[in-house]
Amino acid sequence: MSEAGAGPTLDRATGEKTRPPLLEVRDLSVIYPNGARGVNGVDLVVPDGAIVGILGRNGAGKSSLLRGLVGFLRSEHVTVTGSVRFRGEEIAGGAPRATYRRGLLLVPEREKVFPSLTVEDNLRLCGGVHPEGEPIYEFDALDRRRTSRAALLSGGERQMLALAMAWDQNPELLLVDELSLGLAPVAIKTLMEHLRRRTDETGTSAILVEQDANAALKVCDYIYVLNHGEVTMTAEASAVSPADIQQKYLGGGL
Amino acid sequence: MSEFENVITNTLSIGAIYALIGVGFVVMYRATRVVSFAQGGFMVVGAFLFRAMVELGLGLYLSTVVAAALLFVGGAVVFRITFARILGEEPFVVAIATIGLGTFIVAVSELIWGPNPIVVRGVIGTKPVSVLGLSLTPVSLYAIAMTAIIFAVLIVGLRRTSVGLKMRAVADVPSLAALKGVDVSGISMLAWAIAAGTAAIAGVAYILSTQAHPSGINSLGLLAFPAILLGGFDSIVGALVGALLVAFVQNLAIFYVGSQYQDVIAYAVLLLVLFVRPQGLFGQADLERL
Amino acid sequence: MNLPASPAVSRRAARGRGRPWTPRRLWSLLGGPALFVVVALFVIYGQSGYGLYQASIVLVYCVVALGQEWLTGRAGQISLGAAAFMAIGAFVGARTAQQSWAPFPLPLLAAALAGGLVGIVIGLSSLRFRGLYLALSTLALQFFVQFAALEYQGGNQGGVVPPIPKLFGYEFSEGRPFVILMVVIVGLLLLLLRGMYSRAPGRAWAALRQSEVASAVSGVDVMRWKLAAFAGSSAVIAVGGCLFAYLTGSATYQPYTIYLTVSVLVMVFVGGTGSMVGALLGAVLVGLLPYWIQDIGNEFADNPSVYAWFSVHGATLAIAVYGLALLLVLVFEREGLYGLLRRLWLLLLRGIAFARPQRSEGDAA
Repeated sequence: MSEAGAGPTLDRATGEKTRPPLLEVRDLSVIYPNGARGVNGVDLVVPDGAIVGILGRNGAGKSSLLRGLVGFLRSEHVTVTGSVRFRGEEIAGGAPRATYRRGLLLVPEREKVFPSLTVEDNLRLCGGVHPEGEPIYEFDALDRRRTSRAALLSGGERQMLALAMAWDQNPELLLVDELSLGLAPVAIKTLMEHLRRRTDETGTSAILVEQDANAALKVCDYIYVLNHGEVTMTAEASAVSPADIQQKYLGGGL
Repeated sequence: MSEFENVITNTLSIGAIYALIGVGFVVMYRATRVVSFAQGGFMVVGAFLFRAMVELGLGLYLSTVVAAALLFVGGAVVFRITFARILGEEPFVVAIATIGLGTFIVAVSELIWGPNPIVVRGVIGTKPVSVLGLSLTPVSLYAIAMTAIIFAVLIVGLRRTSVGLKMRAVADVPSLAALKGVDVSGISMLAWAIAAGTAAIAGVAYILSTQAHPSGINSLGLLAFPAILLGGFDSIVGALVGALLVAFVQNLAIFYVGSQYQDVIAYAVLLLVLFVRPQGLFGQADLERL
Repeated sequence: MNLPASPAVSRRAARGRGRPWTPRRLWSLLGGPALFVVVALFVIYGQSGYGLYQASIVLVYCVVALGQEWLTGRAGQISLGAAAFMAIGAFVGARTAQQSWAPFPLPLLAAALAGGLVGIVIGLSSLRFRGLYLALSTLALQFFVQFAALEYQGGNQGGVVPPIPKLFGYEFSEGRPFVILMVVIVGLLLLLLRGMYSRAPGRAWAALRQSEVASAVSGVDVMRWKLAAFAGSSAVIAVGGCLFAYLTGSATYQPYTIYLTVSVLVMVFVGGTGSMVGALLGAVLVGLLPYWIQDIGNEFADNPSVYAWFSVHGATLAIAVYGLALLLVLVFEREGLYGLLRRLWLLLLRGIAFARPQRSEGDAA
């Protein structure tokens, strides 16, 4: 196990230091209008092609971290300090639209699809053209529910749609906030495996924010544990067990 | 023609005008969450520009198109230089800002063209035409036709075009739309353009039917709120239905009790809707956020 | 954030127990209003009848602006009903003043009562509707009241004429006496508001303005303070309407239009929300702008066409300026004139500190 801040730099296939990391975050802080610090001086590295997990309890700052990477709207009056280098370019403090154009795509925790639009329209908005009768990125359910409004989908179907929308937009770095929230273990397993397969196939990198450490450890290459907006542990996923992480949650439950 | 037929024809004409004001409001509200008190102001400018075009000899349809086009661009420009900066701020504040905007453009219009009633002559006939058993004046036909065209264009546009899809996405979850790369500011600008353009046509229809002062035209912008609320603030179809219903109730009231009650009747309808069913007939959204 | 710690503590604080009345506290309470009275008297000293009339208008507007600021600036509630409340106050006050059993200042109290009652009704509806719905219901009020005023006045062109206010035999006729009366009234109002704003009520309203949900969670009695704000501000605005009727000589339905409401909003927002001084500045601006425009027009006395243009369009020009100012303030300088002046003042102070030679290192600018 490495200390907080050391971060992964090894290519997991060859074990050598090869390509530069896709994302390098140094001393990132996210300060809300009322002065609260959602994220406080976080260092983070995402190697090219890896899946990085960010674990932590509710309120640990995981979502703030993702939002801090993607950027806030000016009207939200949030201050982002520190350095975020994506493919070598500094992007900290940018607007969501700009980071989107560079290839960072966020699947948010709560509003991840457009409820009043149909499944088809949701996908069309993201540029996807999917012929009828064929599974959409392996998901039969989405094909069957093409003309349903997204508000009527189940939690699992909604997550599938959100992922399909993301794939339609060909991200370089996919950020997923709480994929497992509200889903049955079977659904979580299916989605996680799908995620792993797809990222391997396309070479996409991903950051998964998760409360479910079990599920995350099975899929991620590296993990960071966040507590009160700060990184308290980093490790290779294979070297850690959920019990170890539970300790780092200051004795609280997962 | 019976007097009740009068009520029907008046309902159609004034209802068309309310619908035009309302649909622009709804488009803007859905895309930007802005409650605009400036529709009346856009109507006034549209009416003046229409008259100017007519005096240049452009005829009914071309003048309408030019006035609407100028307001379309104008609405976008106004958004870009002012409201774009407060995109996403407290809705309360933005609403008051639209009051300032509306007041300003009406006053400036009066400074340029004077506060007298806007009279346009010779551009449209006065002989009533018989349509489906009703006797409609050319002005009423014009208003109805414009309304039908605008609504058709908007409904089809929103469903079929990619810009329409983006607009619906922004109307649904603006933050997600931004994350998906939609130019929220650009969509808002388009919404403002549409609101101003449709208000212009409403203004033209109004001055063709009555000789109104600019301040009277501006007040009509406020009278459209009962119709908008009845239909549901975020429903385009609602804008049409609400407009016709309010116009109908108003005309019934005029028919039975006299025309000095028409404003009060409209606002009585508004209060009724507020107490019984605030989201209107077709509305969905929770409008508490102001 | 200055949320009231708990209802019990704030009540005790409100009663002033446990906190002695030091000269400093006395000054912070009385200082503002006293300063206002001094400045106002200084300004009107030596003014002619015309100037005194302008001063009267401004002072009446001050009352209305302070009332609106209470509701919209301090408590953060939206309302488009200012003109309606003024009309209520004007008609009730003028009618009451005509009765022989109601010497001055009873008409003012009657106006306040009427305004307050209607304010409570609106306040009750504010508990049910929020935001836009509330704004629309106040808009409805505007239409209803104006209609009612029209019907009440009937064909009587002169409207309801109140007699000149008299107190202890002294007549506050037009000109200096009326202005002095107004200065006293505004001073007392400032005192009253200051007293409330600096204690539990003010903190409750500030919390309400920030977030209703957060206030409710921290134990603020949302319903009580909302109703209080609506009732109180409406009462004040109604008193302003009554005074307006005294000033103009009668209560008629004509002035109380939606445009009057807009100018009241201009006073509060352009002056600067959240600040009594802002409301006063706004009242000065809105009250005097038409006269300033007239003065500009008079500069062109030897140019008849320009002069004529100004006489005809002066009022409309003022409205254009109001509308633009309101828009610009909300888009660019949210704190209004008061905010601007405060920033300039701070810059000035900083400039002076900078110019002065500094010896010690830890000097804050």
